[in-house]
Amino acid sequence: MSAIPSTAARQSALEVPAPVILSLQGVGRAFSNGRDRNVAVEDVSLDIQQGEFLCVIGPSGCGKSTLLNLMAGLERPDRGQVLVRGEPVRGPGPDRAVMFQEHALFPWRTVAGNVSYPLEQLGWKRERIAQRVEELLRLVHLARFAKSNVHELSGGMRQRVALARALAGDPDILLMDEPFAALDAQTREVLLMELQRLWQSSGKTVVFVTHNVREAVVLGTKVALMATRPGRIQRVLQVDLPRPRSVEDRDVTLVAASMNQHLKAEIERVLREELGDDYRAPEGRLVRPAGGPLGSGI
Amino acid sequence: MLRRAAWCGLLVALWEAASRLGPWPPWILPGPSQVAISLYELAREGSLAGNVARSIGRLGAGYGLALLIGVPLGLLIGRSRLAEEVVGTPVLGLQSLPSICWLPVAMLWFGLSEGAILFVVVMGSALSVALASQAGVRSLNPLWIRAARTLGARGVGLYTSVLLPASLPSLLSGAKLGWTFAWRSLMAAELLYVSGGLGQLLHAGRELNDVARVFAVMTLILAIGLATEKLAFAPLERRIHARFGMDRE
Ligand SMILES: Nc1ncnc2c1ncn2[C@@H]1O[C@H](COP(=O)(O)OP(=O)(O)O)[C@@H](O)[C@H]1O
Ligand SMILES: [Mg+2]
Repeated sequence: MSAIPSTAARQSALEVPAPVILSLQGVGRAFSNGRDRNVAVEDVSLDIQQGEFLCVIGPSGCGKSTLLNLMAGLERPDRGQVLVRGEPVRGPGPDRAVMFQEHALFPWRTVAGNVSYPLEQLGWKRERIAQRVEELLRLVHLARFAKSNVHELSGGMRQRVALARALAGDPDILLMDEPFAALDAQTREVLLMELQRLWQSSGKTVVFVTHNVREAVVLGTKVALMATRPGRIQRVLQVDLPRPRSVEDRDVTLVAASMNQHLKAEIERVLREELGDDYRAPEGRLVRPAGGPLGSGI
Repeated sequence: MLRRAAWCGLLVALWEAASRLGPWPPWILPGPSQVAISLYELAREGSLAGNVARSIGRLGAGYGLALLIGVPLGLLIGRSRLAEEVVGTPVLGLQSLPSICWLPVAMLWFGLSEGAILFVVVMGSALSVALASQAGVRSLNPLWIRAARTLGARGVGLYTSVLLPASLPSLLSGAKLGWTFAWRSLMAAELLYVSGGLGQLLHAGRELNDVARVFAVMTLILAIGLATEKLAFAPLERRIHARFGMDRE
């Protein structure tokens, strides 16, 4: 209990727990190319409550994107099932919006055209779309750029447009796959603040994949640590720091440091497996088993 | 722009000089002044406008049909494995056949009719349009399709709202290519098959042994091609490239 203040933990004991909105039950997904079978996600069970901000963190290639795509309905599980409000996911749906690491905006549409795309798919009327798009662009501070082309925007602006587009159809769940990974530190800091603000005011459920520990601690109500090969969830930690949080906060740094230890242990384990005898742990950073005071495990 | 105009002017002057000062009689190599006179005479005879309109009408119909067939066909074989396996190879094979080879068959099938010429133009252009469209769809960013699916696009909507606009740059180059093929096929067909049009004017010039007249018609054919490129394709290309943020280099 060292690094994480436990006030929120006490509070939540008094509150009625929010209903589970997204549930993974024994989910597995493997890819086979030729003879090799690569288990990207194995036996993941996870309940995500409504309004939660879950960060999924793990080294590159551990199956984070696959996990998110399973939730999005872009991938089908080989085993187990993904449930949204108790219903099995059969494909992408308007209740779940996705944001990718690369912006995935449509270059043949203007900024406003991109944001209006999901609304057109929903069959909204023209005037209603225009109104909603304006509102969304104001929300992400891009109202002035409604008529701009995508390639005229900076990386951070593009991700804001992608965020506005994801929010357009008012989804209950926002699935984000390292959306800020390609941005510079300053831009990311600003967007981390805005995302917190948006999440707090909207009450949406967010699943946010990242390999950046600080980012996870700043954003998440919970942080799920993933282990590699096969990809699985090692443990889920609760983060009870006051908001808004910043990457620079002392508490964030402390919590992130202890989580980092965990991840390093995992990365070293993987390297050792991959490289065999060629791998030697760096001096003074010996692998230590998972454990230690990391916060209120759940 | 100015430099280019100056260069063109110089070329025309050189041509005139070669015609006048060369060791050959001027009717072998008529200069631009004679060609201009010939063109004027052609216009005065009254056959020019009708023949130009006829050729352009055929081109418009044939090329339009080629786009209507080629673009969907290309999108389909670019997206579907099955379609690619079934029609991909035939399309590739037939595309390499010079389109004028279709003329005898077309005449047997359609008789001496407009249908035969139309058929040659369509065969000459639709397949290259299809191949360019296919290449365009193949090189799409798969992320766009995934994103569109999460944003609610389904089935045919995915084609019209993502695949088609996303392949616009390659569709345009396909359309350009298709246009040159259509234009060439048409001229070849008209030359071989006498029923009006610029190709036939060319043919008639040869029968009259009138090199200046042949040159005049050739100039006209060239001018139509150039005008289409500069007035239709170039602005479209500029707009698409500006939208997509592609450099013209
Ligand atoms: N479409 C795919 N085909 C084959 N292998 C894949 C595919 N998607 C992911 N993988 C493999 O699954 C593993 C997990 O990948 P991914 O989920 O992208 O990890 P992360 O997002 O954590 O970097 C990797 O080993 C990757 O090579
Ligand atoms: Mg990933």
